[in-house]
Amino acid sequence: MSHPAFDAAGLVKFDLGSGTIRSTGEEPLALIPTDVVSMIEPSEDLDKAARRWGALHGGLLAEVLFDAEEPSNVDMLAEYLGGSLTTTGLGRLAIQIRGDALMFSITGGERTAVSPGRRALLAGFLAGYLEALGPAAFGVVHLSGEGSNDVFWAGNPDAARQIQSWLEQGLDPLSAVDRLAQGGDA
Amino acid sequence: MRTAEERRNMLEKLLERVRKNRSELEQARLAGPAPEPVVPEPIEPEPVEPVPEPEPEPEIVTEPEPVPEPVPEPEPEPEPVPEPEPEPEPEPEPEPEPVPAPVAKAEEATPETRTFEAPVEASGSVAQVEGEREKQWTIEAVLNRAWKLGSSGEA
Repeated sequence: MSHPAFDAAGLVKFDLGSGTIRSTGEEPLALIPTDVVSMIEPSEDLDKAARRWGALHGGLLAEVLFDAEEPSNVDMLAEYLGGSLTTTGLGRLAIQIRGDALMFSITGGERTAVSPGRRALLAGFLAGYLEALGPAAFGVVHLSGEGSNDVFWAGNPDAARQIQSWLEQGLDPLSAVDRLAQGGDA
Repeated sequence: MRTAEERRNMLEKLLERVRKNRSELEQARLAGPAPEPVVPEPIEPEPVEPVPEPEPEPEIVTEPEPVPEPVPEPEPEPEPVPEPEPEPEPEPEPEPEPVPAPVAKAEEATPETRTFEAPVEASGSVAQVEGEREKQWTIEAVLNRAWKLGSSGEA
C-alpha cells in the first residue's frame, strides 16, 4: 500500500481540561446523539452545514492525494470516506459504481434513527467531501432507503436535479440512474 | 262233534223260546201300561284327569314388512337439446416471431455494479480495502466520469 492508511485515532482529540473536543485540524467538535440529528429538518442551512462538515473530512484525503506520487485508486476513497463516516457515527460505507454512475450505500446501526434530516445530512456531507477533492461542485441525491440503509447518487448538480425530478415522477431509482447514462432518453 | 239232528233240536228250542217271549210281550202290551222300565243305574264314568288343553301358541306378531315407499318414477330426462355447434374458433394468430432484441449499445446495457467497501477495524488504525487497482478506477477518473453524466461540459 503506497498511501498512508486511514487513521481514525487522530480524528478526535479530547481536551478534558478545557472541556473541548477538537479535530485533527483543531476544529472544535461536539458529540451529538443521532436521535437529535434526526430531528433536524432538511433545509438549505442544514445542507450548507453538512457540506462544510463533509469538506473538513474530505480535506484529509485531499492532502494525502496531493502528496501521493501516483494516482490513488477509488478504494482509497472508500477507505478514507468510509473511515470518516464510521468514526463520526454516520454509518458504514460501500461505494457502488454502476457504469459511470457513482453511488454511495451507507448503513447505520440497528438503532439508527431513519429520518429525512439524517438523509439530508448525509447527502450534504457526501457533496462537501467530494467537492474537497477537486474543483467541481457536486450534487447528491437520495435514491432509496431501506431500514437504516440509504443509497445516494453523486454527480454534477444539473444531473442531480434531473434525477430528483425523475424520482418524484415515480421512476425506479436505478432506472433513473441508467436513464441518465443513456442521455436522458426514456 | 254234534250231529245234524242235535243241531236241529237246538234250533227248535230256540225258536220256541223266542215265540214264547214274543207272546208274553204281546200280552203285556195289551194288558196295560207298560211298567216303568228299569233304569239301570248310570255307570259313573271314572274320573278322567282333564287333559290340559294345549296352550295356545303365542301369536307371533310380526311387524309388517315396511312397504317401500313408492319410488317416484324418475322424470323422464329431457331430451338433450343439441348444443349449438361451437363456432369455429378463429385460428390463433401466429405469434409473432420473437423479434431479436436490438443489439444494445454499450451504454444501454444494464451496467455492472462494482462495489468498494472499506471495513475499518475497531482500532481505526488499519483499514483494509477490497477493490481493483486499475487505472480507470483512480479517484480522479471515477469522479470525472460520474460528473460528466448528464452534462455537456468538462468538470
